[in-house]
Amino acid sequence: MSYNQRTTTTVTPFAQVTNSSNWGIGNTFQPDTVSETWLTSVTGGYEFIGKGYMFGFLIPTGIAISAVGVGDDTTPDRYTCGYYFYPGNAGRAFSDDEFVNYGTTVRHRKVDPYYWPQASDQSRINVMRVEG
Amino acid sequence: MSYVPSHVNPSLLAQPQAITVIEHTAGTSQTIANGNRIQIGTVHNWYGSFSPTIATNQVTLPSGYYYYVESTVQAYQLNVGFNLNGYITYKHYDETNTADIGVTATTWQAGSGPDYQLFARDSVARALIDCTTSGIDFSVKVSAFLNCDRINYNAAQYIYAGLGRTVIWQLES
Repeated sequence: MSYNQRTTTTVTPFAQVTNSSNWGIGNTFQPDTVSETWLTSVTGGYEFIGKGYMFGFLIPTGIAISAVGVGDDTTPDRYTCGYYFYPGNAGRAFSDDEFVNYGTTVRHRKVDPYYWPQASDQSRINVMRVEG
Repeated sequence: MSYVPSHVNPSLLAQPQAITVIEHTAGTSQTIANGNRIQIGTVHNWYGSFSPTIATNQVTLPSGYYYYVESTVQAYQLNVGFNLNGYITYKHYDETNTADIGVTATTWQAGSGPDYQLFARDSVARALIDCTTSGIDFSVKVSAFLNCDRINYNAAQYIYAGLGRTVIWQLES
């Protein structure tokens, strides 16, 4: 299928946030690399004026059991969270690795961590602008 | 998911018509059985104005659009002895035409081995559905499972994992 965009933009609507080394997880940690200039720096992440769909995952570097979400809230909705999981631990609930969200700010937030190590440099957050 | 390099002029990329997330029903009593429809609940309209009709855990997709649908679930071991290597496989099912659609997904617990490489599995079922000429009803169904007996369980331990969801992208035809 193909489309004609209704709202013309001059930049790609796809952006990715990564870090060049392991992520120091916390509410104020900011990954150091962002692929598009329309994501601007704020404490704890990146944001832009408008709305976007976010998805991503964190890969732990050590023992970890936790859900992870993104967004402005410190406790993202449970149905938007991904699972931060290593090694397996029988008796824990398990679910998808990927978190999803929709909003105006890219910030990772931890939720109810059981163990909480760093995340590897392969972790990432992707943003798709859905409004011009 | 496709990727567009930054040097490509994206002026021909379209906005979606709507993005809607359906929060799966959380509780302590939903058991797992092959062929069962996963219980779905609250609709969250994130973008646009698409709020699908839901009846008996089936979602109605109106005609006139393409739809990209993703679903994932959370699973838990309550009465099975907390075994390692539990999993649940699930899929989208076209209730109108009685057919499996898209690709299945398996949410699984690796046991005590390393699980940080995210290899060889996809824990999100996906389907691209053509409703340009006629709409369909679809559901999310369990097709296989082992060593887990509850789904979208919201009592003890649920805080460590996300609960189930279905994400629907409504796309212009």
